[in-house]
Amino acid sequence: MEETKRYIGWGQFLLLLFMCRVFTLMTFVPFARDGEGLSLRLTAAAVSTAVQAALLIPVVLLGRSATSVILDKNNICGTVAAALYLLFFLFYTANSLMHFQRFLSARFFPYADSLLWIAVILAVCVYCACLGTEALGRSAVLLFWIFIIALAAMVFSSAGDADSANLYFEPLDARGLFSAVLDDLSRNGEICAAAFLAGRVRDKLRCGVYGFLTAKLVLAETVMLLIAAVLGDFAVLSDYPFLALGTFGGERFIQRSDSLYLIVWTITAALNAALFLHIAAELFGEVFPKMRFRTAVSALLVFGILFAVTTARGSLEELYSLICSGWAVIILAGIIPLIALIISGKIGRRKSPSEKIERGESLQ
Amino acid sequence: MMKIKRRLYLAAAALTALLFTGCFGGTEVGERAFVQLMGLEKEDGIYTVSLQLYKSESGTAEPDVSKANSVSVSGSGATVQAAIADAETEAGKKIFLGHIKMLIIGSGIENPSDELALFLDGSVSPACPVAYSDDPAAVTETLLTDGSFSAEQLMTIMSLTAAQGKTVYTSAAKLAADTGVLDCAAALPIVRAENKTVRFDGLTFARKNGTAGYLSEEDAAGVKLLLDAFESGDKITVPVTVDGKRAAAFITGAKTSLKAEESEDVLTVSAHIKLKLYIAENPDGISEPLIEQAVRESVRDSCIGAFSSAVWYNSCDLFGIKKLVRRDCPGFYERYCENAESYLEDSSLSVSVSDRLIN
Repeated sequence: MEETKRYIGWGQFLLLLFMCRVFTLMTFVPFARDGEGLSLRLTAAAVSTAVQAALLIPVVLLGRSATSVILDKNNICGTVAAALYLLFFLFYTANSLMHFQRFLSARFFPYADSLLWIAVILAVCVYCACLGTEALGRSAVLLFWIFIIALAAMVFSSAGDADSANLYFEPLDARGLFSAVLDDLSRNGEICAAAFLAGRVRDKLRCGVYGFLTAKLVLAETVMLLIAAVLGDFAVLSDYPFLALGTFGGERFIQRSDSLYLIVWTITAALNAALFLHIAAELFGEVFPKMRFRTAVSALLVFGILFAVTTARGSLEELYSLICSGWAVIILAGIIPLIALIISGKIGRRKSPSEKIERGESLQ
Repeated sequence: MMKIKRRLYLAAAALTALLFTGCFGGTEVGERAFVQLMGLEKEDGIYTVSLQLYKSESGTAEPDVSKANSVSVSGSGATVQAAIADAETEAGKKIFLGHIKMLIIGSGIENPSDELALFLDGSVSPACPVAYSDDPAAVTETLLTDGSFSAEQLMTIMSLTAAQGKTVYTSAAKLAADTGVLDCAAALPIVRAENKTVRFDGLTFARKNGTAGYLSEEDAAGVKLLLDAFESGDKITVPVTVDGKRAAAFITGAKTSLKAEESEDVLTVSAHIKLKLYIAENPDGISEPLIEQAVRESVRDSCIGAFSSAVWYNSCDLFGIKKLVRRDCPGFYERYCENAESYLEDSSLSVSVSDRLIN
């Protein structure tokens, strides 16, 4: 009974990862900030999703056994992989919380102590992470509907200001596209979590993975098109174009939808950080099986990273960017699972009925 | 036992959230001054802000709607923030800009994109309308009654004027983007305060290096239509005369599509306007097709009038021509940007109007 409680449905898996992407999308819309062409970013998002679909093939093939195969305890490579994933998830959690803190300080509470925000949300994340994957999955489903309502309100209030003259498409150059795809990948770090959630998915993992990729592509393209159409060139001047979109329609729906945005964004931030913290804590268990209070230790390390990065920004920024880069996502989401798949010898071998069950497939 | 423990934890968390709210660094509502209107002007390098603040005259939270419920304060300084801080001292309360209904810029504001940028970091809604006045302080010091507070009445006047096609809304975001990033121009409603009343009187053109030019109320309808700014509920009255007989029609809906074309280094802007018409008055019994034709001609004249004033005579790209060129003629865009003023002056406009009569 306890064992089945840990499992999540493929829909919960899809929405859990989807909400993590929502968090980064709400904070950062790349074409707007860099003043790059809309066509480049729309294409980059599509190419990046195709790359992610390819990267996740080994995880899908490994199915429920993904975590145990990648982090094989009988193999030194497994321990090295666990350490790499641990490092990534700790930094990625820190990255999410730093975005959260920067946004709150810039837009809502400029005079408040930034480390105070981090400490408060970390405490919430520790609690959420301790509840486990199932609780996070159920929260993601609830949060998804809240987000959809908030998004609908934003679209409804701002669609009247859309101007087709703002939608222009420039020719693409290969170099720009390559760097835009890498940049997009770096903002999709949640796909690295797929390998660790795969073992918890009750069935239809493939539906969950590819449904998630499709959903986030649709969302990213819709949001970018909407921001471009409504805000136009103002998007370049706005630090948070998604928020600006929400406040734009103003009079038509509600005076200022900042509060709506803040609520959704805060809960999404907590869910996003809690998931990564939860995975980091589990990875601690892989590396140090006898360790206690893993979630609290992970949170302390995240706090330490944030403290170090905020106080010694210049010297740590490069390391920080490297760990949270597109290359890191490619290695952790695709290459390591691929190596694990090859080493485990699961390619080309006929699947036994027990393996089919393990991968959540039908036995017919 | 476990359930009771969990409930106790939940109750403790809820109580903490409720009881500790605002314990640190909070500002009570009574200590805040809610700005409704902000005027901003600059003279000899000194900024002056004039603020109209909400103040309930009933002494309770429910305002007495027969009164203005507003006060005005002003401040000046070398920067906009210094001027606001000065006004804050006069108000004796912390200034809160998040509820501003309208920004009014005056003379001396030469780069609205830069000078309004500090408001667009989230303190003011990017959708906040911006108007121009020769004397912004006079507008904020005119306290109108009828409504919950003075600025509400001003906004009602603006909505009515805009609905009749006599002015247009320009948001802070549009002004900042058009005069900044795009280096074009934006139409600003002119607001005047006289004899304790406030009225809107045509449009002026804002661009980099200041505000100049004037477009009458009659031509403002052309701007509204060319900007595709017709909203549901708007109603523009078009009086027509056919063979000495008079009639009037309402435009109750309008949709405009603009297109830019370049041929032999000459820019042509094409506008197609679809109208929904309603014949409001026809005492002399003019036939409907003749009224429709007269309205179409009137709309075309109004659009050409607006375009000629703004684009041909003032080289002001009010209608987003630069964006149209970027979208429709990408190969011509670079050349256009290098010599935009000249292309605008030599440009041509083709307006086609179609209509649908509603009985």
